[in-house]
Formats: sequence, structure tokens, C-alpha cells
Amino acid sequence: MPSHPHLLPEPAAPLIARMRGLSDRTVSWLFVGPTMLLLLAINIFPLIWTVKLSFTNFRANRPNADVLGVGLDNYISVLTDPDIWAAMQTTAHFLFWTILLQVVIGFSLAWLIDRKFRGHGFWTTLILIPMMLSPALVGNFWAFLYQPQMGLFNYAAAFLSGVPASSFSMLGSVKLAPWAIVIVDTWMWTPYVMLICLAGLRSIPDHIYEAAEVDRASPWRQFWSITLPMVLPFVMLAVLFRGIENFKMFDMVNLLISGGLGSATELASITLKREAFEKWRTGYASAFAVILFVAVFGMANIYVKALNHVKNR
Amino acid sequence: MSEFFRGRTIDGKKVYGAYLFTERGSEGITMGVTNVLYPMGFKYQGPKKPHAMDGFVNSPDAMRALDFHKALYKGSTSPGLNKDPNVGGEKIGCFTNPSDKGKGVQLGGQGISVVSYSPNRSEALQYIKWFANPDVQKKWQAIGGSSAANAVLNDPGYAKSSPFAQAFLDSMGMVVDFWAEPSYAQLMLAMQKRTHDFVVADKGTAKEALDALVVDWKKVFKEDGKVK
Repeated sequence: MPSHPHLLPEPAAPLIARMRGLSDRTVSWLFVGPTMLLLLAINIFPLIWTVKLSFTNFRANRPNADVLGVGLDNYISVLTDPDIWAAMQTTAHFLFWTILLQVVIGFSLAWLIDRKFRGHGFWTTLILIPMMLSPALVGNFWAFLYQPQMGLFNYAAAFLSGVPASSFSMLGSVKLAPWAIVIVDTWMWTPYVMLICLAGLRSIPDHIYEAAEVDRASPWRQFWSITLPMVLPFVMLAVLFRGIENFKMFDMVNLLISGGLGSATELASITLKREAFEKWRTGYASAFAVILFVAVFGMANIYVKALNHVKNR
Repeated sequence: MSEFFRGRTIDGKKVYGAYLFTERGSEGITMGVTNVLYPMGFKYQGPKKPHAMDGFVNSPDAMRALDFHKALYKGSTSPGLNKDPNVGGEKIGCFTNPSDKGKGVQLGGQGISVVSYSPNRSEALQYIKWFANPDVQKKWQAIGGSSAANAVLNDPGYAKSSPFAQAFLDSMGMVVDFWAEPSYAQLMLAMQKRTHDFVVADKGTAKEALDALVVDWKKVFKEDGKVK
């Protein structure tokens, strides 16, 4: 009986062999595809859904109620609500002071660490410890440190200032509470700014300083004309990262003081959480979230353009 | 009153004074504030028209009461950390809320609700029936729970069953509840914010706090379709 090999099914080619037949473009899509799908599912879809909800009166705790379109009402309510503006002011205070303190202290520490003194590796590791901790843990243990009767912070402040330790309460005074959250965030995230600044300082080639010394530039002149301009893009990057992070700060402040006293430490993210998951005004909270997103996105874009401008000088 | 007790020496020992609970995140400060507001004349709504709050929530009596509560808070002290063997436990003393224009004590605890779309509605109802049973309520009280069941309160031995039992018994005759509405949480959060801002954070006046509270509550009832 004659054989008909051409009628028999072809043996399946091994996967590798089949992959070899694919174009580079297809292979790259195969690698990127799952990530893209994941991003679409957990980032882009909720974003679109949030925008849609922001134009409705939907409440997540009343799934059976009719959902009505309310046009721009939620946006108008958010933008004309004095409590929202109070929260934005509190957020601005928190942002301004945390970033300023973290940049000043972080850069100073980086500059000192860059001197490469004996044991600088040990000190670098020690300084980095706060940023390795969980924000929830930090919020909880600083609540103890701030305790007026047994808190170490009060004792340290009393030791340095001579004011009795139990005579003031960082978390119990309307004037001190906004500073209490600034201090904790600065303590926790200054090491992060320091690391970025240190990377910037170490990226400056030694020959530039050597040339400056040949030109008899003073250390002060070298700092202003070489160090600062060359580290500036790194500092700006640190400001961008910390700005975005602190604009959405929630965990540490919520665990430390829950947005109290009154509304003295109620940041925008805490207001948003209260509207969305305590009052269940989902439509209103979605509008607020969209406004915050547009604000951060817009400001970050402007900032990145400024950063590129500085970098390309 | 609270200043009178602060830092006083009684029987050779320094007494640190009164402590007021002002928790912000849940319902803490509302519990304290309403205990002053109720006997001093605060009302949630007019007697003739439900949800008509103007002139009741922010009445002159309510403002006076809120100012009084703030003065009480300003004279109080933070809770102590040292355990005094002569205080607490069986040595605790309790009294009913003092009267002013009327009587009133805030009602604590939460009601039990059965979710209408739950697949286990009959089991939930069975549980409520079981828990409301007089014998179960007596057992509940015996192991430390609070009960307002007649079977417990009318028991001849109840008044002496704990240091607070007599005051609890007297208080049950004058309790006033917070809004019993589906939007309870929203209404509570608004009161927490307005009272905390005024009493603890020194923001504005009693009138501004209560006026803002009326605006907040109207907004909630408007969303619920209960006021226009």
C-alpha cells in the first residue's frame, strides 16, 4: 500500500520554533500585553468609571436606588464647598512645609554624607531607617511619642526648651497639630530626599571641581556655581515625587490623628475618604477625586516641563 | 465646674479633675455634646413639621448649651495614666444627667437591622427574637451587657446589681435618640465635624456651628427627598 505522507498531519512545531517565526513587534506585544491589560483593568477602567459616576447621584451604599444624571452639580458643589477649600488649605500647608523641610534637611545630610568621613556607610544606613518603616506603624508610634505625659518627643522638647513636658500636647492643640504631622512626615521622608540628592552629588565629575580649584574658585563659589546647579534637577525630581506623594497623603495622618482636631489636620485625601466611604456620597466623591486628579496631573506636567528645561540648560 | 476639680488636693492627694470624651472619627463628641444639649432645650425638629430644623437645632437654648459644653471642655483635663486603687471598679460613682430646661440623656447603642435583600432574613429575625427573650436579656446583663428590657430593669435586684445600675435605671426614663434615619452616618458625621470644630478646635461661634449643622442636615435630607 503506497504511503501518502503528505496527507498525514504535520508534527507540531516546538514553541521556541514557532516563536522564531514571529516578528519582533509581535513578540514585544506578547510581553507587554499582560501588563497593558492589567493596567487597563486596575487603572484606566476605574478612572473612566469614576468620571462617569461623577456626573450622577450614585451612592454605593444604596445599590437598589435609581441612579440619576446630575450634570455638573457635583463639580459645582465641590468647588463651592468651604469645607473642601479648608481641606485644600490644610493640604497646601502640609505640602509646602514638608517639602521645604525635607529638601533643606535632605540636601544638607546628603552634602555631609558625600564628604565620605569614617563610618559614613553606617550613618547612611541609620538615616535611611525611617523611610523603610510602614506609614501605619509610624503613625501609631508617633502618637505615643507625642503623648504629653510619657511621650519622648515632649520630654526632648522640654529638655531643650525648659517648658514642662506635660504643658503642651502636639496632637491636642489646634495650633500644634498641623505641625505635628509635618514633623512626622519630615522625619520619615527626609532620608528619601537625601538619597536622591546624594545620587545627584555623586554624579558631578571630579574634574569640574579640579578645574574650579585651578581657577582658584572658593568653596562657596564652587557650591553656588557647580554643586547647586548640577544637583538642581535631582532636587526638583525629589520635590516632584514628594509633592505627588504628599498630595495624596492619607495613611500616616489618618493613624496619627484621624484628620482632627476639628478639621485642623483634615487633608484632601481624608475628606475624600469621608465623603466616599463614610457618607457614601459616591457621585460627589468621584467629582472631588476627578478634580484632585486633574489638579495633580496638570501641576505635575507643568513641573516636568520646568524640570526638563533646567536639565537641558 | 470642671475647673473647680482640676488639680485640687482632696484628703492630701492631688485630684486631676474632669475628663470629657471628644473622639472625632466616630460618634464620641456627639455623645458628650448631646448630653448637655438635650436637657438645656435642644430639639432636632419642630413638633408640627418633621425635619423642620431652623429655630430648633440652632435655637438660643441650643447655642447656650453648646457654649456651656465648650466651657466644660476647656476646664477639663486629659485622662490620667496612673492607676489609683481608690478609684474605679466597684468604687465608681454614677449619677443621672442633671436637668435644666427639661430632662434628657443621649441614647447609646445601635439598633439591629435586617437587610431587606439578605438571603438570610428569616435567620436574622429568629436571632432577634431569641436575643429579645427576657431570659436571654437577663443572662446578657449578668455577663456585663447593658439591657433596656423590662424583664431586666423591673427585677427587684437590678438597682443594686452594679454601681451604675440605679443611674442607668433613672436615665432610661429620659433618653433621647439621635436621628433614626437611613442616612444616620451622614447626619452623625456632620455633627461630629461641626461640634468638634467649635468645641475642640475653637473655630467660629456656637451659632455658626449650629447654623452650619442645620445646612449640612438639610443637604442630607434634601438628597433623601425628605425636604425640598
